[in-house]
Amino acid sequence: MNPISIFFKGIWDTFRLFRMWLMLFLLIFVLAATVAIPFANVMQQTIGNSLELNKLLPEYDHTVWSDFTNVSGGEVYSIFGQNLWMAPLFLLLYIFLSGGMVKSFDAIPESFSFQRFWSASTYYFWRFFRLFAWLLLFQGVLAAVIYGGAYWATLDFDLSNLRDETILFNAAKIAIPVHLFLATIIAMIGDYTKVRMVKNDTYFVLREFLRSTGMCFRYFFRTYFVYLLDIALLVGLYFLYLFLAENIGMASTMAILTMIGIQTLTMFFRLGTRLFALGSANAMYDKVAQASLPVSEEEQASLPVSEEIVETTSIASEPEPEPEEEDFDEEDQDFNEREHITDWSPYSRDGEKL
Amino acid sequence: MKHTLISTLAFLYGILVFAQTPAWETNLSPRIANYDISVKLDTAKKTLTCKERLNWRNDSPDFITELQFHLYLNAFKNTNSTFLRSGARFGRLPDDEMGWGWVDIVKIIDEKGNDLTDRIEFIHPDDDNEDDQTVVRVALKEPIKPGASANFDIDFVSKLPRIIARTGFAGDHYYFVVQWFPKIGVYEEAGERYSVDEGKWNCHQFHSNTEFYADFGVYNVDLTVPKGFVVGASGVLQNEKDNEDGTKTVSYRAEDVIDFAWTANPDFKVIEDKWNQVDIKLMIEAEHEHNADKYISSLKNSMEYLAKHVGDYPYSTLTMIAPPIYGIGSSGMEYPTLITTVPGFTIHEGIRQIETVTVHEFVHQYFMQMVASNEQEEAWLDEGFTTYFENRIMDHYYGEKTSTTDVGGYHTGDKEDSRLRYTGMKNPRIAPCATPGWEFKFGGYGDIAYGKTGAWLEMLARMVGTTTMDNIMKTYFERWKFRHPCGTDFIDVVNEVVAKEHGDKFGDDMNWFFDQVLYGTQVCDYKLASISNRTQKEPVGVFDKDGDKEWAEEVDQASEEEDKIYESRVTIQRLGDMTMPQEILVKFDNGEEVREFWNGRSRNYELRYERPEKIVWAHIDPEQKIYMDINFNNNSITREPDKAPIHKWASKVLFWVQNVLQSMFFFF
Repeated sequence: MNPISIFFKGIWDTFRLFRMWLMLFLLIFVLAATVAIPFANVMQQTIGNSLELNKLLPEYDHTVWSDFTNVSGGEVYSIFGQNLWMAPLFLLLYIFLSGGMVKSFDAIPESFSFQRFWSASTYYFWRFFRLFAWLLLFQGVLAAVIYGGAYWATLDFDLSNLRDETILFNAAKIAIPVHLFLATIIAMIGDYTKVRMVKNDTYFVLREFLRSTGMCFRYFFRTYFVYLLDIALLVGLYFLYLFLAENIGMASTMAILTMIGIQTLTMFFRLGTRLFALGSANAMYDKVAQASLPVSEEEQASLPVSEEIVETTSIASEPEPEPEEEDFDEEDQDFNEREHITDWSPYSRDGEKL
Repeated sequence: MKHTLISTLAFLYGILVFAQTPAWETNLSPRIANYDISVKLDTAKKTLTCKERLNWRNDSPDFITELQFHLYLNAFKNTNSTFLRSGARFGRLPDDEMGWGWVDIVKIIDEKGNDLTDRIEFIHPDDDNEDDQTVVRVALKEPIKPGASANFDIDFVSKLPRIIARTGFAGDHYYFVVQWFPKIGVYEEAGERYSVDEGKWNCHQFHSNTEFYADFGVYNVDLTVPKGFVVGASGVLQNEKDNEDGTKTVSYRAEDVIDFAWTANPDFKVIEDKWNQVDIKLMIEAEHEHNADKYISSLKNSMEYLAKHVGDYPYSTLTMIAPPIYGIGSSGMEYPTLITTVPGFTIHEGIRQIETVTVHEFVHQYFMQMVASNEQEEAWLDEGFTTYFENRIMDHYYGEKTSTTDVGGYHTGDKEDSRLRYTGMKNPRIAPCATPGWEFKFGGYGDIAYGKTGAWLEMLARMVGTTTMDNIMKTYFERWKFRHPCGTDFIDVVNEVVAKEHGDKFGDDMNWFFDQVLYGTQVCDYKLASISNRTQKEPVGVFDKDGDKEWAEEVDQASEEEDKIYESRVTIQRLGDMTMPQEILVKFDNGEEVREFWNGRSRNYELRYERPEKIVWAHIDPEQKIYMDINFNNNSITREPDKAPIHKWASKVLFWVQNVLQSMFFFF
């Protein structure tokens, strides 16, 4: 259960679901284009033939832009307003699609199937929506507790008590990292809950969330490390984008085309990092589940597990059935013996999938 | 020898006579209203217990039978004041008694010992609000003769409010004390400013949009505060002594000023610097000290620029207050030789809030501290002028396109910000610039007084040239410093200097300009409506020739490309109601550029050419001299537009919308 190999397996599995990845990207792209294209049309109609437009090529020009929005602000802001509505609608759509996404990872090594994707999206939507509601609640409570706590501790809930704003900056220096740390844990547990709910086909959202919490904390350093690697990849992606944007600029047609390509790739891989995280959670879960499963060789062979698990199963069937993962230690074994299958594994004591 | 002795004696006599010339005749200002005030600050009650001796000189030919005073702090006494009734937002109203402010004249006695206290009467010259207590009239027992001076002893108590409209206290121990004492109004004699027929007091109520107007004088102020407090004030520190009761008395003298402001705060650190002969003091709390250089360097930039383009700063001190965050309500205000800027926290180096406010408030030292126009009646004369020079200074030192903001590719210039403040108004016709501050009842005061005035002053500068504009400002400053000019005085200077330097290039005078930008609400918007290039064709149809009818058919000129003549047209429309002379630059496809001139008066205008070249583009006002044009983007048309900028910004929108959508992943 090497987290690095889990991380790479998440990436590899995502590449195996390239068609799903591409489809999701195109979906987002098309939604964004419904804002960008009308915006371009408004620009074309209002200042498309003006010499002032050229001032917007090398860099931002506040006068040109503001004169443009003063005249066409109604249209431009209504177009941008669309985006504000689109975001929550997209969130709903994303919740819908998550069932298909997780199921597709679960189905590996089978190849991606649109039919499976859409049917799983429909099948898991309601329970995933409920999971979303719980996650939103948890994140909201977390934010309220942390920032409310900081507000209470520094200003006693009264802004007029502020004597020195550095106290706010110092509070933020503590509160924001703590919030990010805990929020990413909740998000990570959310991913494992999705994986559990698909693999176990269960309706009990909160119970699965709690069991995922148990599993994540039991293997905290591994699960969180993998999740952090995904976040680091995302952050690195943006640093790379900003570096390229800074150096390439958008002051010529060639540079604009290049940057459009880079922006497209950035968005594609940003989506990728989200899928990598789901793929990693799926792989990690399978690893943990497989490692905790005292099943026979025949039963194991019949389980719908990933290729790697099949591989490890065969290793496990060797004369010396030691845990094959290099870092699957006694602690893991103890945990499996104590909480075992019924607590968090998708398998019954008999090895049958629930 | 005798001759030499007489000459020597005459010389010495001359020196003696000169040395004994009354001080006010050699002073910077006429010194009409002079105050000696002793103040004791009660930090528990937030009150000032004061004794004021007012020496006032009647500089008019009239017999003065009453005095009028401003009692500004009464604006914060209750919600019946005209100030608070105006509905202006100055934060939350106080929810405890301590938060309100007021000033009471306890006693007023003339120099003959007559008690005038019973003769105090609240008046409300601007509205019918009988509850407003910001102006009082005191009927005198004996009139003050023309040219005579009179002394009055006034005992008063000021209760400081929790900071509102810059004045008051914040937290336990920050005090910014302004508009705090009974301040005499300005008696304007007939012929002065707008007092046409007879002399009268100019003493307006305190309105939320208006500021101040006062005569010059000398202030000697003794401030008694707790010993640990650090004090800053207008003028020059004279003395500081500790008292036995745990307080100290700090004495200041401010000469040739129109007001006196002071601050006290035990947490202030004082950073001292110097520019030429001016002692600079920055009063700042420790947490902001790392930004001290921003305040001081921007102040020095302003001093240097204004000395070069307007005139000298004659005072020996300038104190800057960087208020603490909890005293942010006292930010951005100007008083003689003392200004407040903004709290010095760092957001981003490219956000030049500290510099912008510092520059703005320092420019006010010129426009209304020295050139003491009436801020209440003609805010444009100080706020607009200050905005104009703030724009110039900021753009000069920090870049025309980056002077106010320069963060990650987003940048704005101060001058363009000011123009956009006006052009971005929902209703730029809401009121003329020349509207008194309190009559902006439906909004627009700031945008018009600051933004529009800044824009038309910039437009004037672009039309007449920066050198002429500097000469206008220098003449105006030299002629009117330490006096009370009005709008027409400035217009007279403009007409005089423009005529001198440009003859009748702009007409007999510039009144046509001020009628529109200052006294009118016209909006300027010229549009280059179209350009066209058509092949010139021979006339077709039936023509009379030698008594016969001859039919001429259309000739296909495609084969005669080289001999083609184009009939090219440029159509311009005046969409707004303001008329300004326009320059039009037309470019032909052989690279030639032709500059045309149009008086800009008709609603439509057409340029027509018959040339073998086609027009590529045409541009009205290519140098953007008509800076008030509310839309520069419609001033030009090209037949060969570059689509790259649209692709660039559309792709940026595409990218960021995708980012927004993908940010939803955080929630699930």
